[in-house]
Amino acid sequence: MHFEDISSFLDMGGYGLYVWLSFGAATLSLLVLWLDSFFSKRTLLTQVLTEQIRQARIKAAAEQSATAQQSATAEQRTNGETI
Amino acid sequence: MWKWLHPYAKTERTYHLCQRLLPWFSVLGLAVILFATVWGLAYAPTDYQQSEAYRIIYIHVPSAVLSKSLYSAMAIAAFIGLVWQVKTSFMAMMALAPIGATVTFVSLVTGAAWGKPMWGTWWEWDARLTSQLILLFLFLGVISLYKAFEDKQQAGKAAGVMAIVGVINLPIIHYSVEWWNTLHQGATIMKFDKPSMPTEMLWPLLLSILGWALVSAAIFLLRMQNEIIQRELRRPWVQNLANKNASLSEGK
Repeated sequence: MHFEDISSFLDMGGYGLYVWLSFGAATLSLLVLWLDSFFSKRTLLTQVLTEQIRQARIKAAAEQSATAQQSATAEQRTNGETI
Repeated sequence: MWKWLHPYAKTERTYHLCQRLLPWFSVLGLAVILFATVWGLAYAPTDYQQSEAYRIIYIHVPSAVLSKSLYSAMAIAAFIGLVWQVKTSFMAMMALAPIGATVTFVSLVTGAAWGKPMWGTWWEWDARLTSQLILLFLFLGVISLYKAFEDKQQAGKAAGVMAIVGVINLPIIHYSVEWWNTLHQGATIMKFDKPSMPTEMLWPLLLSILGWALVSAAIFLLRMQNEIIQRELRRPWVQNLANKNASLSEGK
């Protein structure tokens, strides 16, 4: 170890402010970048899921309305026949 | 034939390749960067001229070196994307840009924190500092140009052209300390000569450059995956992936 004790290590020969400012800024920047990358992956995957659910719902609704229409026309036809 | 053969398999394979490499680069990068930083901060000898303030070198130089390397990598990706129409290449370009911007920002901040005690000023409009600031703006420009287009193929082309044009700034940064009178000192290790630095100082510096490179690579892999997911949102394999991921996190 180059320094005698912890306080001289923190003091950095009187340049403590500049040295620790640099190292702090670098750590913070890299950390923010990594957190952003990490959490945007999670957000994207949830987005895929919600989109999937939405598509399934749209499909189900379309099928339902199609069958409803079919039965409606079928009913009309049978109504027509009985009258 | 290539393009015709793998239009679907390609991004999926790239994704899984990233997934496989990611833990290695993350762990190794973190280990090397921590080791080198502790070595540089606490064990390397002091400088006879700048005393302990010189220790800023152990982040300033790696970040500055990486800023230029990442820009070159981004420009190469842009070139491949433009010439061979590889869309994965544009994704790589966009994965690299934010990392490059962050690293350039770090080099500027640490440079300012070093300039204050040594030159007596946080900032000076001289050649090296200004060209490095332009590099930051080029990174930000590429990112914002890409975001400005709705059609991502178009966006990739426009941002790619900008990235390639910006390469002109790299030799300017490198030679700025020779071409102009500047406060910034000349090259210490990146020159065709023996490095003008004792080995006990040089080793932690080289290691920290390696550490920064590995960490940047790890973040690149992660961001590359994000770019792929974003572009392939509706592909079945991405949907399977999301499902698997959801069931995994539920299981925890």
